[in-house]
Amino acid sequence: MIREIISYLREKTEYKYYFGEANIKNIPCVIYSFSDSLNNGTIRKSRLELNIAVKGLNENSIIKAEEIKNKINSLILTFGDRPLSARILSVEQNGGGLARNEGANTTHQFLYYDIIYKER
Amino acid sequence: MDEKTEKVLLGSGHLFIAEITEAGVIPEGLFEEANNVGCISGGAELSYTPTLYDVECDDGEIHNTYITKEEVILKSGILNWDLANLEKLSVGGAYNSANKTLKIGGKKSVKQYAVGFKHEEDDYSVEIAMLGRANKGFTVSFSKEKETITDAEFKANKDSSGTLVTIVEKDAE
Repeated sequence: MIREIISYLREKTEYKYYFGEANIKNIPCVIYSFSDSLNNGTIRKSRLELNIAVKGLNENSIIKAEEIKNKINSLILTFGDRPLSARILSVEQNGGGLARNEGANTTHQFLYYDIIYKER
Repeated sequence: MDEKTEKVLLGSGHLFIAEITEAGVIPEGLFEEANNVGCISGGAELSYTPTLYDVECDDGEIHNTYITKEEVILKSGILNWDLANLEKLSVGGAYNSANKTLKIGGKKSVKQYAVGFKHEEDDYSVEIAMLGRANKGFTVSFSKEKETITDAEFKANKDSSGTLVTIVEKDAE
């Protein structure tokens, strides 16, 4: 189901998405990973982690990362009881932060999402 | 296990409130988009509470059981801010769309509405429909940390056939 979200983001945005890690040559990009926190056969809850990586360490880099974050949030966050799709019932951002990698000269915007979807 | 017992409902749905055009009859267009109140939050809850009276012998044997009262309540929460919705949730409210003003209080009669809730799954949907009136008014909270959600609670009134609530399962078209 996480793949459904990533496919949707690939379709709706021009950004590149990579699972787990990305080559610095591909930056700016979004690196994603996920893990399940609950599955009772009906409901599945997962935690999606996005790492938005952009070049540079200056204010423009932060603004660019913020712009990508806002675009992603506008596409996947659910509003009230309105589901994202027939199976994805709720997407909620729950945490995040900003980090600088001086060695690689990159800025990283981390985003954490709690996702609830139908297991069957 | 057959298909029927395998069905599991999960997820919320849409709330619909419509004017009644014929007394005691749920309008056919209840589930049309024009009657959708907008985004809801916190799901919806339908409760049916019968009150029973048992005719018992002194030895405790029950001879007969009668239904003395039945109550159906539909609860939900409306996330979209709309004064027209608040009018429907107040038993004596009057909304003037021209000057966007809702006035509550002073009326003696209670207006009834047709109320519907639709839950959709991949291949079927469940529609709940009833005639009802706002049961407990509403509370509107303005908070700096939480979005305003207007509680909606409707108590069913019997339609012309004596039915309190109708629940219909429909296969996807």
